[in-house]
Amino acid sequence: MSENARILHGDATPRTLGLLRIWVFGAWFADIAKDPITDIASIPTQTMTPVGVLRLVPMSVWEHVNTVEGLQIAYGVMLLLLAATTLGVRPFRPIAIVTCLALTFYQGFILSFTYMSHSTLAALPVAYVIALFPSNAGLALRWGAPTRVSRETAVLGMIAATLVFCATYAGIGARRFQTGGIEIFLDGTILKYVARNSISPGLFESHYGEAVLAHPWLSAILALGYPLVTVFELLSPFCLFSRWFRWAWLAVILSFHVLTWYLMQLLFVHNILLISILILRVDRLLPRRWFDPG
Amino acid sequence: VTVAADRVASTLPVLEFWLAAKDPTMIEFTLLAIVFAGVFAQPSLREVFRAAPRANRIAAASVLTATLAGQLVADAYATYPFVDWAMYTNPVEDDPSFYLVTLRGPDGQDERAPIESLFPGASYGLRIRVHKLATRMEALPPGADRDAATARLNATLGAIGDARRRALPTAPMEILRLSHCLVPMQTDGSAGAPECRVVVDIDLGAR
Repeated sequence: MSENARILHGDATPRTLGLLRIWVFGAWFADIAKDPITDIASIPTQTMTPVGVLRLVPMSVWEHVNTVEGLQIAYGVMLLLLAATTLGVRPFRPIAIVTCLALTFYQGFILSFTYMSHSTLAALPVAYVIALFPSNAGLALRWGAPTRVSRETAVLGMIAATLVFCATYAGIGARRFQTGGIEIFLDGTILKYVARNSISPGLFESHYGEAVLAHPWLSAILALGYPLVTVFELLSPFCLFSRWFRWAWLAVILSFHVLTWYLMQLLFVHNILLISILILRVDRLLPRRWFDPG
Repeated sequence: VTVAADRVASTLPVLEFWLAAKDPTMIEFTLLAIVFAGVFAQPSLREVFRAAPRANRIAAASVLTATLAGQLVADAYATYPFVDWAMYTNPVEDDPSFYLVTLRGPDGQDERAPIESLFPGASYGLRIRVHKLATRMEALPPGADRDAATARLNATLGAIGDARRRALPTAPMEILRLSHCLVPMQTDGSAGAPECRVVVDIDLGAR
């Protein structure tokens, strides 16, 4: 473990992985519990555009699912599975994998009636990592013999979750350089995005973006921040190795999320929660003895 | 800022050439390959992989590979749940625009349709859906495709109107209106007042 001391999550234990399980699946539970999807039943199924794996299911099945009763059952089953996985109920891996499959279809169903919103999509592959690792060895409901998990497995689990999460940021950074080139940072594109999202109706009905655009020096800060954020997004995986880069990344990316919330009415709750546990390491605020199996 | 950035850009001809490469996918692939090669070159990460059981190594590598593959395939609607991340990556040349859904009551007063509260499960996504359906419909020439796109848009708008009627049956609305609004950008970077035109009116009383 000599090298591990230098890598983020090199000190992880099975309980750290358990905390990640509670954090991620608990957030999914709260997110889904607060917004039942039965209202979607009133949207005609003919307007549905099944996404990805949902295309494997015939439309006739979706017509049966897209009823108030069908969606009530889906909602209840989804919450039950999420609760079981959050608590680490055994047999853990089968339950967690079924939960992830159900979550994929549940979220996919919503996206099929709306659009490919990315606000929850970083948390999906992180959930897959948790389901594929023995994440119930710590901080889980337990009866019978405890699950034995090596510390190396817990470290890899935490690092895999962080890498997958950071890959989504790296992807968007790379894509922006690809489709936008250098021009996208020079032609005022970001100001147009802010104008559109601020003025059009949105989640928060806030118009701070419009107000910011009225001040040229604030617009200049926004324009300068755009390439800076993109570079940090692209280099996100290096949060694993460099302490100074990690703190700089947190400052830039958390500011970015707060600004997009206020200026563009975009709130990525799952991302902020994942940053808190995977990059900021909120587990370090808790007593260390909680995580040392002893 | 723009002038300064222009000067910086003009001093980097190699980068300019590279960013104008004929196969743009290669840029994204190359950037991600460089970043992840740098990541996996770290001895600490290699040690973590070596020390963990094989099944866990395979699990970690599989999810990471699928995530990166989803990014590079760049067709989120086909590859879900492994999708590409492409928000706010396209340059915007024209003035920004959006679609506005309003409701008109018997008193002739307009109010914004509270789509998020009528459809908490779909929330903001349904508003974007309307935007995408309307954009597609307006871009199509007259014909069967446009008729089909119009039917999908009207069905979605009708569902919003129906939901409003169910939510507040004592205060019925007569018309649901979809407007396309253009936000004129001023030369100083500020945004002007939106200029809206009616795309479609749906008579809610006739439904």
